[in-house]
Amino acid sequence: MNNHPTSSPTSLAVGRYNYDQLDHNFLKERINQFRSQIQRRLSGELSEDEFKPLRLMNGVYLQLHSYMLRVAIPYGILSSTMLRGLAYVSQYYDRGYGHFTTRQNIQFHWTKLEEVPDILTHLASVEMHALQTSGNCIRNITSDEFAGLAEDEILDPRIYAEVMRQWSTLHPEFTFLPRKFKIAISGSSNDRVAACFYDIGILTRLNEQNKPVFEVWVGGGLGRIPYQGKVIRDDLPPEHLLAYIEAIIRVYNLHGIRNNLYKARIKILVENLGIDAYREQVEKEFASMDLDQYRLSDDIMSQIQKRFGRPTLADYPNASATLENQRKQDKAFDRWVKNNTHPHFHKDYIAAVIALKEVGKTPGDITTEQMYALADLADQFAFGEIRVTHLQNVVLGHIRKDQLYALWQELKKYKLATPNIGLITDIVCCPGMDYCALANARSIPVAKQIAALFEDIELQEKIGPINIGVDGCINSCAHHHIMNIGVLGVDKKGEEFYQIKLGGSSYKEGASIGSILGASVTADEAIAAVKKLIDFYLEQRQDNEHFIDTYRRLGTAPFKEIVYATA
Amino acid sequence: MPLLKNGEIISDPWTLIEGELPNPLSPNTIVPFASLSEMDIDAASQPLGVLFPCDQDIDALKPFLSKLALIALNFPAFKDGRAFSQARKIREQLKFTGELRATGRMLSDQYQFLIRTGFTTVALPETANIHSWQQAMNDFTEAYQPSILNEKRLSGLRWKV
Repeated sequence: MNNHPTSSPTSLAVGRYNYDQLDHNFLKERINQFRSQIQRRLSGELSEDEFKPLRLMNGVYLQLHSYMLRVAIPYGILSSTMLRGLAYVSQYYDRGYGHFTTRQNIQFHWTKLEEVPDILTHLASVEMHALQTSGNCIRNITSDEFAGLAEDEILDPRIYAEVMRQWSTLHPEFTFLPRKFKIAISGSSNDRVAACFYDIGILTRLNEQNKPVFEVWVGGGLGRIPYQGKVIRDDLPPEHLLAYIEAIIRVYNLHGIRNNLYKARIKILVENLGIDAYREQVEKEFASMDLDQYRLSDDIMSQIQKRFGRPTLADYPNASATLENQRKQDKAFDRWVKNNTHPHFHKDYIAAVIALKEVGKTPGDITTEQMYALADLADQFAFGEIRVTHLQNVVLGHIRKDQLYALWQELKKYKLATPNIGLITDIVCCPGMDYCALANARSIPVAKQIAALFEDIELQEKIGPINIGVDGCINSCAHHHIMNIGVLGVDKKGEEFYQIKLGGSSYKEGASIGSILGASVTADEAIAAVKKLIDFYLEQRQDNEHFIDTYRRLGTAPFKEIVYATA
Repeated sequence: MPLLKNGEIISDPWTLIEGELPNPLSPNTIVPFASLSEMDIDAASQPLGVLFPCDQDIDALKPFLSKLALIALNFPAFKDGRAFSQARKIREQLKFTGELRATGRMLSDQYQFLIRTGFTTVALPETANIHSWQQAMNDFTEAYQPSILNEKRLSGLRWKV
């Protein structure tokens, strides 16, 4: 399970589980079932109330203007073939684009219900599906965008994410839970998945015997009432992963609140019982289980791991020097490398983060043309593998350092070379009232206008690392609670207003839920407020302090004063 | 109320008694759990069944287990999946081998889930489309989880259904 096995055939699409005939058969049966469910709805055998959860479990939402299809990207990994499949769907069944979400899914906002089985059939041909991307079941399992390539990784979380994907697929016991259920896993102790804000978040560490064990967080979540999760177990042997999460979810299924939608998440149960009482119930359940039946034996793990392709990374001793020279000669390239790359465990390779955050564009949107282009570039430069991030960007994971310049020049042609990762225009944004039936306010125009204020890249770099999330409703798809600056759309008697939150932070180290700054304001005032907050921060910061640190040092009051003094 | 077992409609020898229990109780009677705890179970006619609510801990059944030939669990709404977990616990932890019956509101799409969590019979609503239920039994030929049926493992995490 380490980062460097060479056992899988190189012909498999890299970085992901490649289907065999059994997996293909299963998807075919699932699509046939959904076709018949649609027929039963049309014939009146199923009421809309009965049909709704069935279509949701196939990723089909009824949005404001049409049906939306949310397609799963398990642990965020796509092969170039899969991305071309998505491009095809966007081209022939949608309006020429797709929208990446914070849960490593992609959404098509303009599909027709009667065409969904055909879309699913097309997706199945490239080993993709929309299973459990919605509904009160175990949702798509997420991981971090540098899984399998990060230097600090203890085990490859994708293999365990795939195990959990398979196990949770049409789980007979857990497909009608009190509410949706979200799991994220990181193969490192460094939290890159916001583990403590998930129903179950899993981090990996080495124990005293130098063996990998899982640190399991439970009961985190955002939405109406945000909670930071708690550690339920910090030394779970990986072989017991399925038994343990099954125990956690069984206790939740039996005891979670079912008569109040807003209190039905596991976070409320954990909060009500207290983590110690919850743990006690889970441990009792775990102790009563036939652990052998659930054991992730070496044999099972190796059968699954063998279906994962891996890149063959050769040594290129001059690659680093070449890259350094190119950076010196081209300032724009140097800036992009500084802001948009991440180290790879192999010293001659690097991971490139491709921003879908060009100023003026909807965050997370990708056009058909860009999808086809990225698929080709992935084939040319990155072993045919693309990763989707939980901050609505994409990553090409294994680029030879001496080929990075050529890749960047290609990316520029498709407006995919914006050098703003982690900077103020790298805004996370939900679809809001432009699309979503749940939203109270628009989010996309607000995000675009905030980005426009800070278009100057030198200003962005001066401001430094900061994240902003803009949400159109309390469901928090854009994670506004755990962003340094969160903007939340609220409805006041039919008019759109925005609440501003400050001081959120996503990851285990320094995790926090933002505080509401004051009364909600109009869209224009909210945009102006962000500008005032940033100006104030630039005045007040000491040395190269990040925004979050200045905020923590000064507290909410002076920031509130700045925004509301003249408002 | 049509009773479904292995995809076939069968006659139902059982009668559910709610409210005041007759004395003596005739065989093949299903009584609500609340009554079960009040009656003299050793004097009750056999075989005896119980309708167990979805909001109680199945360990409450333990004292009566040896006298029970049938346990009926309830789905107050098809979206309420508590009885799936109760069924598994009754099979795996209480080792109950008698008839496990699903009652209440369910969809045919849940038939395989019911079977795989340990139910043997389903009391269908009068309005159910029996053809849909029979078809649903064969919706899937494989699954990614083990079940109480001890099905054959195919490979990896796949089991034959």
